[in-house]
Amino acid sequence: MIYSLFLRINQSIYNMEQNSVSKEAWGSRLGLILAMAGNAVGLGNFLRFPVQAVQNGGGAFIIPYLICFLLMGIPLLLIEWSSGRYGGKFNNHSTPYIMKEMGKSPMWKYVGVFGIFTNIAVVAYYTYIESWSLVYVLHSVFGTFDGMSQSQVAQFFVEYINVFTTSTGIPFEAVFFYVLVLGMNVFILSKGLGGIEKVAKIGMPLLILFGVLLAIRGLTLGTSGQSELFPDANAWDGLNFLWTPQFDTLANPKVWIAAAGQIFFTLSVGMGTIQCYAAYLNSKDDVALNAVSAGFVNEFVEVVLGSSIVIPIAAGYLGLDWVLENAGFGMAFQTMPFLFQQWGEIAAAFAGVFWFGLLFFAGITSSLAMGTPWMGFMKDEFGWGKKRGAWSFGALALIMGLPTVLFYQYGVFDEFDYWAGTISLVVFALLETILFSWVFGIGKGWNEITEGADIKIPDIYKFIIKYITPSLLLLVFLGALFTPYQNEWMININSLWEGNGWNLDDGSIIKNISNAGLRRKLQTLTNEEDIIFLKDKIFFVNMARLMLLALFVFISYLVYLSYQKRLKEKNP
Amino acid sequence: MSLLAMSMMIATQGLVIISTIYFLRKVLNSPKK
Repeated sequence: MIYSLFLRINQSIYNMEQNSVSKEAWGSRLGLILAMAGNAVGLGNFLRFPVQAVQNGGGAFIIPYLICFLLMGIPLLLIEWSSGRYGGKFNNHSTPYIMKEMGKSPMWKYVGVFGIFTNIAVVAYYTYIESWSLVYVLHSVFGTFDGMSQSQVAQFFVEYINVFTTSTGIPFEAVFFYVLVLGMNVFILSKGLGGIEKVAKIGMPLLILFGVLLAIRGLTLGTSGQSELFPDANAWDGLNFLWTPQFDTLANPKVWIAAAGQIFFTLSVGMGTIQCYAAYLNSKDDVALNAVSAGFVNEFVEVVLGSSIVIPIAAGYLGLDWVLENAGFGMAFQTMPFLFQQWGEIAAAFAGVFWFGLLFFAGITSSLAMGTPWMGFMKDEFGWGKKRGAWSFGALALIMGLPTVLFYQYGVFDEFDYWAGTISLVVFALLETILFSWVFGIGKGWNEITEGADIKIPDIYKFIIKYITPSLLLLVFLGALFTPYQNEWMININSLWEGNGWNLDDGSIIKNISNAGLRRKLQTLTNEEDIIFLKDKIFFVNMARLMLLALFVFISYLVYLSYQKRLKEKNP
Repeated sequence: MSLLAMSMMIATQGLVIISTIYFLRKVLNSPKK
């Protein structure tokens, strides 16, 4: 009943939109690479990488990081690019049917659901961060942060995410700007690949230009930022810590898992967006050189620019000790505007525009990519045009995203980031690698990678893709599943060896499912207000999980409907 | 900043910059646009 109604509605939409549906294609190769690089370059390049490096042995971190780039990053890029182009040959532009085609089993299409689910769930909260960046660009121009102390700048952010306060006079401004930015994404997506390519061609060079200007400042700041409060502040200390190799940390599994995780997240693999972009290539187009080039542009932004901005500038004004204590995501919005003020009003305005503009472009080029798998799927299976695809994507993102905005302080945002933006990616990447190497077969897979290639990929990669990459991914997944107490791997390995068992950390997947950390904290609280807040938090965290589960089931149902439709049309 | 840290930074960033330029030049010089 529901199915036939859905088909009838869909048929009328299909008839209406058929005329406007034309075959999508990339305008130029450089545009594709910039769009792919834009997809990969995100907030993590500027905020996550330097923090991970600081927390995992400074300069020594770069060694496992680069090794993981070669053994996991490049192989995953090759797998996803070639899988996408392979799917495009059969007119499939999203992972459910790309994977089904490769796996020759209808069940793989349900694994492919991850490649749509993750994007909608991530874009729901990711556009919220984009909206912060946009608002902070405006505040930088208007000089809102002039004369504010560091704690006032930090408090400004806390008040901004409280939806009932306003810094611009616009009621519910956090919601307003969130919807505005989501609307911008939808508008650009409704223009199809051409719109995405245009944004990438403007956004990526501007991002790099802004990044270079800020990096030059970071590298030349030296001791000029010392003050009475921080007499020992020195930008070189930050760089020194970031780049001094502490070789003893190389023996620590925690560092390797952190490096593998960073490579994984920075390249935006395991999301299904790369497959979707590559599905619009021609069957004889190169994927090898394109994949490696896009990967290296991302590495340039991360290793060269990402390491030269936040840490040295913060160390230059607040000292290395402060950085080591406070290094984290919050620095971008709660610290940087204060630091820019030290350069004078005019320079602060420019620096604010550069920094938050850079974050905005990094964000929007990624969020646009997240819209394409849904649009590709709805077009392939139900004939939905670009506009309908984009607006329905926006509607889904809004439904999923509003709770992350309204109940941010209750951890809904973090819950989405954990399950959709972290765990789902690892699970999907692991399964797609197994599919590519073992089910589709490395022989056929290698042919897909090398067909039309403009560079020779060393034959050793055949072995790496088949054995090393899935093993590393399995390690990352197991690391998340059984994260040891306080992330102390050596202590726990010894404990296990001596027969004393393995102590799980509250951050491990197993403990996280049962909200072990929150429940333990609840037992220690005595203040009635705190107890009520934490109980509410546990409720919202569980609701967030239910929403994510509902989204996954909904997309799975659409995939099921599309398969029934294909069976009817004798095109399974 | 110590000499070791400076060397590590220059070597790593140099390697990444050179590789990026190398691959992008290959793309731009390719007949397939």
